[in-house]
Amino acid sequence: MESLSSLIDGFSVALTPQNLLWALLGVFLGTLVGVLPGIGPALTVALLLPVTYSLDPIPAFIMFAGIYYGGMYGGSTTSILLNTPGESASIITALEGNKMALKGRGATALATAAIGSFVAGTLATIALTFVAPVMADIALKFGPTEYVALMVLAFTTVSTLLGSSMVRGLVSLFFGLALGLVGIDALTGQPRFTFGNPHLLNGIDVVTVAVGLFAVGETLWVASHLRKEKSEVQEISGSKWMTREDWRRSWKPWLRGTALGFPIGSLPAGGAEIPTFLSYSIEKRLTKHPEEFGKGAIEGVAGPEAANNASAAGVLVPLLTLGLPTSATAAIILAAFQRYNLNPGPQLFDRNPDLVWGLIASLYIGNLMLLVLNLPLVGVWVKLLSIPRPWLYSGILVFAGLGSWAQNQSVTGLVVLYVIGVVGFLMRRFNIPVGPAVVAVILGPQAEVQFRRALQISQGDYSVFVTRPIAASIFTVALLTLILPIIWDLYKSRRASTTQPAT
Amino acid sequence: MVMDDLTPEALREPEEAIPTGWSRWSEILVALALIVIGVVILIQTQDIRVIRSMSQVSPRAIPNLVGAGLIVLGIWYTIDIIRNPQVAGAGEDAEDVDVDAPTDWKVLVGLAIALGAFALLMQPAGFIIASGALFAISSTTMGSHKVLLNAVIGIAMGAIIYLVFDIWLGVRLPGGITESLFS
Repeated sequence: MESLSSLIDGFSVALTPQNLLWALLGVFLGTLVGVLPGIGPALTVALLLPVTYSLDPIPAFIMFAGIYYGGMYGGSTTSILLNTPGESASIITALEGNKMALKGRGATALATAAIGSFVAGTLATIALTFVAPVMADIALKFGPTEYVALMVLAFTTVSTLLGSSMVRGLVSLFFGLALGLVGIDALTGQPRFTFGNPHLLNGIDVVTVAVGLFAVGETLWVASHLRKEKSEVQEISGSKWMTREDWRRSWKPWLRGTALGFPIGSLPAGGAEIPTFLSYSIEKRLTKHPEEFGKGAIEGVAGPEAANNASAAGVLVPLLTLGLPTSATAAIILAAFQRYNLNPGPQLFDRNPDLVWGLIASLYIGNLMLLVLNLPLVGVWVKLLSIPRPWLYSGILVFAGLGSWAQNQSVTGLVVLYVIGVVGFLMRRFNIPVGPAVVAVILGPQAEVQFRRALQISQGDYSVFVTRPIAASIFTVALLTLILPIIWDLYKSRRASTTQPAT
Repeated sequence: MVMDDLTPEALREPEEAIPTGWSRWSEILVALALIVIGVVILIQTQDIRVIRSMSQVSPRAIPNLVGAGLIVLGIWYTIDIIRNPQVAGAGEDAEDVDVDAPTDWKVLVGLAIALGAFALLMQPAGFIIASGALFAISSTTMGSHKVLLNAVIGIAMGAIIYLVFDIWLGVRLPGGITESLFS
């Protein structure tokens, strides 16, 4: 089959000694940064982006693949040992995993997370190998109208399906859209919203936004509410291996998690949170040991971790085949592609097959490296978790400054970074989700280009958005994601007013 | 909405009190800021030139949409704040964060100084010194009182980053007064 032969070509690219070294470096750095508390996968990828700047595209993306998967492994290590979700998808792992660690079964939790991630990552990457070319073929039929529809769908799902407040999700989205307006207008070449500042002509890039919102904003928030007592890092005790019972209880959740994570991750459905939450609910319902849930049930780690990693591979499907990022992390990877003037999409599969398949091949390799690397290196990661917080967050600020300067080379860039950092602080204070803003910064300008292009082609005929069947159906789904939650809320409040709430 | 009982807010213990006073209403300032930004965008959009012969959709269209959207959202947000009180920072509970503590403004001022120092020192004094200053001021503000040690770590970190990124990887970082040490 064509996929397999392309994949084999990809392996020949990925298995050269230099590229293997880049993969190893990526995996190591990704895990290292991912382990640090307060740094989730999106920020890990954003902060490590400058490391790839001077590399050629193929080694850069191979390293990137390692950073991507490594960042997620690192994050789960932290959630188990420290109960600190670096980002919301790790909350579930922290729920059961940390409880297991408290009971002295930390090593087992880490093992089930690591092995589950490996299984899920490998299976999901296999699925990616076969789905991606099919999607790319379908995408060849997509014109600007369909792309606009997909981007609108991405906007609506990322704003409405997370968190409990749709209005705040939309606030975040529109903030990102506003930031995306700054810069030179693609179709007429004139500057917009640059206030006469030449440093703003290139616009505000997604990396600055991500680093500002995640790194600077998080640091401002944590610093102003720093817990005075030292947080407890759980010692790694207990045998490092899993007992036969642990294996027995883990393998089905691994598979179920993968089955949930990959499809949902590949839909414009806002990233990894939904599959991990769903996996947790399902495992809770299916377990033969329900009394353990909430106190350290291994299924509650195995399933969600598998789901998390599978959805990481799933997110790559729309990213590589359509150029559509469905999470903040994906948005940053897209920015990385754009730096090399590469545009993910069906053309990329045609024009740069060695890049794409080399990337996919090194996902397999990276996965294996992570499993081999992480179980013995856990002790090192544990030491990292005990870094004094002032130094950790100060270091994050230095790296944030580095990231901005590497991208913009200007003091204006730093000021923009800081202002966005303040916004990030406010977002945390008021429970405004950060993801939609990041996705909007990179997709907004593209959506505008496609929208105007679509209307150019249709000679100003707006009905083309509802008459073309694919676009129309995608728009309908987007509309539903906006309307259904409102209807659901109305329904719930009506029920609550007619029945006594049982407290 | 979809998974209400698994959102971070719901996973916290339910005894969190609904805030009142400043905690409750400061959010309105954000909503109002949105409206102001929306208005500013709409005003600025009028400066964008529309060339008649170009594409069917003007470069003003999307900015107008975003500006109008921000105003609408600002109003919706204000209504939501009035109707649905929230616990501050509920979604960001983590080991390092004590959400119930009041905001430590002194630390924020200190961090502002640290970040400002970084921006001001970058070009005249170079990345290494700027990083050293940022790290030292920021660590001291956040609670590590060994100022000299902080400065040493900061400068060392800056130097290592400079070596790795500028010298080795070719990412241009300002050398400032330290440049002569490396050339």
